[in-house]
Amino acid sequence: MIINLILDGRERTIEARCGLSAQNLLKQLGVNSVRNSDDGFGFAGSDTILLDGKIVGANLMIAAQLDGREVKTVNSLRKGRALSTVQEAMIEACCVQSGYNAPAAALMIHDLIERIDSPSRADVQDALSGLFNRATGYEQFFEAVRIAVAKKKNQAYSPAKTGSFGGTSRYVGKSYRKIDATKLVAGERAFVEDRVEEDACILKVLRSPHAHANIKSIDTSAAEALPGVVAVFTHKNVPHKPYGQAGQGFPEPSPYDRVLLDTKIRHHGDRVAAVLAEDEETAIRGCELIKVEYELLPVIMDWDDAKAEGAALVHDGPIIYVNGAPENLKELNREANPKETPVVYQFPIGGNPRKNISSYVEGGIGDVEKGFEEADVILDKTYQTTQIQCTPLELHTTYVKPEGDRLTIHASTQVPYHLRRIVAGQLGVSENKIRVIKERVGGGYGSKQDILLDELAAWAAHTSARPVFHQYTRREEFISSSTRKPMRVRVKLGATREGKFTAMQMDVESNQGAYGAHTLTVPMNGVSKSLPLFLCDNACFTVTSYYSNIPPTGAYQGYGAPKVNYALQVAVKELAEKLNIEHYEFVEKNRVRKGEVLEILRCLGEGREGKPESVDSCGLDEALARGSKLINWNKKEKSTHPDIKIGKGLCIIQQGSGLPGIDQANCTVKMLGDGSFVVQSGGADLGSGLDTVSAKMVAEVLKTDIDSVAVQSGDTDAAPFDTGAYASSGTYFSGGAARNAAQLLSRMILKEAAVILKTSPNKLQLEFPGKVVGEAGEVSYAQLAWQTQGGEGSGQLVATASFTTKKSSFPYGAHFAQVAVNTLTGRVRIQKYYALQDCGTPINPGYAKGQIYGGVLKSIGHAMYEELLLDEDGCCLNTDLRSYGVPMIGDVPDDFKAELVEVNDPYGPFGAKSIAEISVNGAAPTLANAIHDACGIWLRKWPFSPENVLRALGKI
Amino acid sequence: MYQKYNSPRVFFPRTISETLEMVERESNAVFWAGGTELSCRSMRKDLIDLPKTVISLCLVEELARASRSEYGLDIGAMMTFERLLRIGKSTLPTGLHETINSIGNLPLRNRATIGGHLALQTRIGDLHPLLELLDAKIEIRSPSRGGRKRSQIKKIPIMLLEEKNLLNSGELISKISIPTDNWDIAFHRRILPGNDENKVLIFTALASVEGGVLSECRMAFSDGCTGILRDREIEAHMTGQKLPLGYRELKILDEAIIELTAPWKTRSYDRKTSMACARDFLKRIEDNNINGMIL
Repeated sequence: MIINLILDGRERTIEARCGLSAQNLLKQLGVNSVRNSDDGFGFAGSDTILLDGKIVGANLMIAAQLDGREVKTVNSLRKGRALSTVQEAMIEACCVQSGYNAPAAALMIHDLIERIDSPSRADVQDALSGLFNRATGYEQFFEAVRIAVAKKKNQAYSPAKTGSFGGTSRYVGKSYRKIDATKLVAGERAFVEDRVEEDACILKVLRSPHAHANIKSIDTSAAEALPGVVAVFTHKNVPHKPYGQAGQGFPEPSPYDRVLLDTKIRHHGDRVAAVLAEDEETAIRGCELIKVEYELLPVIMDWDDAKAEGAALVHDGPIIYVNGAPENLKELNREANPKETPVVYQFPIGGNPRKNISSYVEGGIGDVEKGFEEADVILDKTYQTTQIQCTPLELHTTYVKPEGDRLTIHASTQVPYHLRRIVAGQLGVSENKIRVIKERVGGGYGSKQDILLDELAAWAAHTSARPVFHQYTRREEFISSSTRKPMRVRVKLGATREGKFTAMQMDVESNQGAYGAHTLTVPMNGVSKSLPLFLCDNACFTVTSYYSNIPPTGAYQGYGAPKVNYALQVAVKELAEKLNIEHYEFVEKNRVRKGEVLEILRCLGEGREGKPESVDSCGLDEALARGSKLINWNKKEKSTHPDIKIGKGLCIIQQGSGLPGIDQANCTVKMLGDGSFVVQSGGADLGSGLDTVSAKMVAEVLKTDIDSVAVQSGDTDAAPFDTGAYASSGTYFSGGAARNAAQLLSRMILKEAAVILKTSPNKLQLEFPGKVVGEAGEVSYAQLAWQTQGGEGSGQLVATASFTTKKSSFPYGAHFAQVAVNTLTGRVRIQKYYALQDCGTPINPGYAKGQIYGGVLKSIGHAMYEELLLDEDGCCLNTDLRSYGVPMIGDVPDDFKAELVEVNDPYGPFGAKSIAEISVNGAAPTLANAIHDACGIWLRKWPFSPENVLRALGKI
Repeated sequence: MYQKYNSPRVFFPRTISETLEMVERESNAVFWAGGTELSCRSMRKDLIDLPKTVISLCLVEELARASRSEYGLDIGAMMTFERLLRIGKSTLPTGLHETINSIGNLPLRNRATIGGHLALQTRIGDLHPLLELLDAKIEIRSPSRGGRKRSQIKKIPIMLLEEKNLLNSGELISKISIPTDNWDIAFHRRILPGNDENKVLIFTALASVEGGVLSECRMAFSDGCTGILRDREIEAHMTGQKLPLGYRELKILDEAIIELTAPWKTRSYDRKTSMACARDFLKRIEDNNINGMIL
């Protein structure tokens, strides 16, 4: 069919296949900013266009419906290089983070302010009701609309900047536009899917309909015979080399327990086979033509199934230790099935796959038994959390191109260097044969630390010598991406009548799922980021992770802390009530403070030997004081309705800043010929603004205009090694490496300038904007570059530096909430949510707040309504965003505040600590405590759904 | 290359009679209104699994009008929700504005039509209970002898339940007629209980009050899939009751709802909340504070 339309003001004619979606037609017309992130359900809003002036989703329309119509995309907003008022407002409001849906949001806000001159909060919520945005928490969109309206009325309007931190620094602690925001909000090509060329083949995976089964036979002949099929992969023609998907630094604490394609299926959605074809339809049809015969095995759903006597084993292959094999290994392997994939441990983590235990650890300080004996009151409760999907807007995507004897992987990853190592290992080539280019990442939140698809696509590209594009569907995200591990946490606390802890005990059981990614470190981190929040001489813990047949679990923002901290913080309030001590007062009596030494960390080393850590900066004093004042803690709010009860809750939170002694970041700063700079950072910016952090730190150190600092990051060929964006390491480690490289370069600059000015470097200093000054005169960076890079110069000034440390910098925070509980329906409304967080010196305050808003709203969703639902056979029931239930703008608390508490940390670059990850640790306990305050119920299990609230109230 | 999708033929009639002529000729044709449901259900990555023949209704002007009649308000089946909202709250029948506003999101409301919403074969939409309470009727046009018939909304859930089609082959919903009403208060609540068994509870109610007496009251409960539950006896019993209702009357109401919701016997949350919603509705009328609900 011939379609005529006006696209962004231009008449276009194109022939379209019937049934082609409007989104795909626009893609064929070269529009990349109208995307599909929800299998065409029209829920996420990535496909937003203006059709004859109305906002609609292009995925819900067929191409034929565009005939004769006017279509506007985000491209219509920009005039030349100049952004529109709305786009500028979004950047100024700091709501362009991962940016995947930024073009859609710009169109929606544009439409809103065209329709309504002065939109109310409800108008904004309605206008953005079709936008899913996991990263931002939506709050800053209200500000973006306010700014856009003000700018529309007065082009010269400039909003007040978000706070000012970092003392007299020029860039650090001051608001500055995110350096990639323009291209993201303008919808320029930035993501992996934007890099795919026309000759790319498509890889599709045949996934198991069963949760636990052996493949008895597999017949691929019909698929192979299908015209357009390039190759079919099964366990018969891929390497059988165990690896781990966790994407951690080597040697990994997670076991190597999977292969590219196996003979055994361990979860619903597990890989069975893969088809590489010339186009997507053929690849899908090829998968449909593969005949598989399964032998079904009993399904292990949780810890109780896993440890039942005679339980089926999820991993029944031999156990192998690279280092530190236990003495009973031979005995353990006596009945192993030699045909099954082995479980390879790099070093002992307490796992025993013969009992479905993937890892186990215990530890403690003091004498816990004695501590409980000394207690006047003991509380012993168990709390349980659910399986949560990360739901990044941009689906897991990879594009692998063979180039000579090398492969270039355009990846959406948090760990480009680990990805390179793991892919090289599977292909049996050295790392220099692989180049990973981390493109802009449309949300990761931990799930893009795991290596889920690049290695299979790389094998397909490597063997076929064809470029390979592989992208998950949203359904695949739910059934075979990594998720937040369900946990059951027993908390036992003892305290004196006066309210001092005498003993603390935590027993964590984690439902690991099919494979062992992050099996030890997630639950252990849950303990290490919660137990040290309170001071007690006698404390102990156990952590047991069980293999099961639920969809795989892995890393997710917070890394165990949101669940274990939920259990601990609710238990603390429960104990305070038993003691008849006010909750806030009880927390104050026992909480951690600056100067304390955290002995418990001696036994929480995450796979290596731990050590006690001192708390050398802590913003909890201020966070608690400011938060309690903001929410009017001591005032009991009155409800105007007898069935609606109002309550307040709080909790305290902590995280780390990278992994001292394990993590490492490196960075190179180059001076260019005109005195400007390029920063080549190994850091992986996931949308949080890490590149901007690097630029600010370099500009600050070199006293140059930030516009003269460009950042190239995440290209493994160009930038030196970095462990990646996980464990809250971005600002601290990657930022620290940028600062160190800039400091090294500044010394080189002084030395070169001293030669030119014929003086000593000690008598010179850097001065803004970009010059060296001293009594002997001054030289600009441009002059210096010309001198050094000229034919007789001393050579280009290039500095590479590392950031490693053994010092820990813990960010802290206090969260407060006020809720209204409808005791008739069980619905909970969050009236107020205040998150006060100490991130040391916030490097980019507006985006630091954005991280907090995003993290808090995510965790509100986790606690209140999100849950991966599985049937008794382990099959996932809710495989789309709508039925899964993610927070939308209508779920934002009525009064939502993120407050930064500035504390100068002695170890972080410019006093910075991490900010994003900690933000998810507070909502569950804060809300549970507030709901208790409102109506007296204890919610010891997620989610706090209307039904569960009513059940806890004893009404059903 | 593998071709899964047949290329459908798409017709674009401009009048209702042209539409009916086309459907008479093309007996397997499927009407395309806003397209949200069909495309939602059939969407894969890049191609929508279309029927072989599609009759798009987007150019049929007659179907996209709203007009006042002696009977009340006539709404063309192709009116989108967003256009209906723009008619204005005061002009629309009681409760219609609030209920439409709670459906989907803005991009969806820009495309979804009232006729398409009512023609859903798989579930009961948010509007069904309200339109039933408002005594709305739908006009159905068929190609045979220029056929035109009117049907009550309440029949739709029964048809869904019995897996019967509301529309015979070739029939088209042309308009929805809602009688002029004198309702004082409308109340619509959509609750997601958060369990895996049932995804939604829809409570809809209308009431008129005169001098502190409930002069008329109607209530409907729906789970969005198995039917609309309504008890005319209890509605009649409450009519004429003085507000606030006494303990005895509330107990009668509770018992009636327990009986009414008996088909939901395993869904204790839905049954309990149905009672709570009804009581809360009455309390709000007593307090004259229908907009004051914070939850």
